[in-house]
Amino acid sequence: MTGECPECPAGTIVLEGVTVTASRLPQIDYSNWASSFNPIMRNAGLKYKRGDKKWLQRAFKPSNKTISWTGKVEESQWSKDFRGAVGGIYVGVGGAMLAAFASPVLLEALGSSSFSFSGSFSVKAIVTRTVIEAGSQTLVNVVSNGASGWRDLDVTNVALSASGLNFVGSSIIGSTTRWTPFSQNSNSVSYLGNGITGGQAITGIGTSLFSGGQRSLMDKSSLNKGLVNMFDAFNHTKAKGVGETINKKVLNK
Amino acid sequence: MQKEKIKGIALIASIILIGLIAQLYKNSVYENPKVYTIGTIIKLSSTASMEMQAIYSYSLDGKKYENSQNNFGNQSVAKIGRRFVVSIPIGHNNYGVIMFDQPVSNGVKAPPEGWSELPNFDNLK
Repeated sequence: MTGECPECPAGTIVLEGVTVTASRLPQIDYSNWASSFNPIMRNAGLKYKRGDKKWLQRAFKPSNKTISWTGKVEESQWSKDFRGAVGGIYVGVGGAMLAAFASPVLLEALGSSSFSFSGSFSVKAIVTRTVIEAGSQTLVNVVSNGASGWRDLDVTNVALSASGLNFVGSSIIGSTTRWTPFSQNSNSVSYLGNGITGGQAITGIGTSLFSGGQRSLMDKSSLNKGLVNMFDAFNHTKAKGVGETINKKVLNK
Repeated sequence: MQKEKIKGIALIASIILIGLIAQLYKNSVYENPKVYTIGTIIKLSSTASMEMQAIYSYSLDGKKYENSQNNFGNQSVAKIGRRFVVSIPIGHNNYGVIMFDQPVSNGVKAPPEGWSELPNFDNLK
């Protein structure tokens, strides 16, 4: 230990004992999470089952390891966000946070087993993708534009998301066209050069190629990029499977 | 499996169909004769699908309404606080469309029931 102590006797001070405490995460059986309905929990469970302890450690471990005078470990924002998401409905942090977690929250709120995260063309999977896309869009629009924001639903993106076709063509269509038939204004169709700028389209194409459109929602949020990437990866798994996406996009392996 | 596929296609088709019905209804609304009043831009915003919007308010027959319009190409004029003519299909007061090419100076007031024709502000000054 270092520091000045004028009243202390000269020489070495022997301390009888120092106890440092730190908060610990509860012991959780992550293997059960693999069958969770929440995609975040499900993927954490899959990681656990595959023995990827490194990933789990990164997910739950605080990045700032300093021990404060209160004896508690400073928790990283990433970890806070993650645990907030895992904990279920994450509210009270503002629209951005709410929007980012909209997909799993919506599904949990519905509390139904009639949803499927597979990339298949089954009715369950289509309903799931429709709920995610339409729900996320509506949530963002209502948060930013008030109750009438639901009218700004972009049906092009809903239909494309429902189809589950995560290919280059669908990304280009989704990013360069917009169709809002429920809006109360005359120009419900926008396309590149007429309502959509080139920059917006390029951003949209780049992000939707990866995430199926959800990324654009989260880029508006104040979420840290780690969580955004992770959530993006989960969305991507709707069609493409878990492992590689997580590795490439979250862990940068 | 084939049955499931057909159901899936029908589901997606129904999403598009609902949109088409809403669009047709809206088209019919905008075919109605119009009245005109003044709207003020109160907010500039963006939707989830990255649509830039001007949100504006206007009054007709003593009631206040709010609506939004894509302001693409009009960003230089669509500023908060600026006033423009709003065209409203009769019987559908919520559907007022702001006309960015028809700015209104601060001194001009619209009658409560609106103008029955697009106003000529040179005559009103």
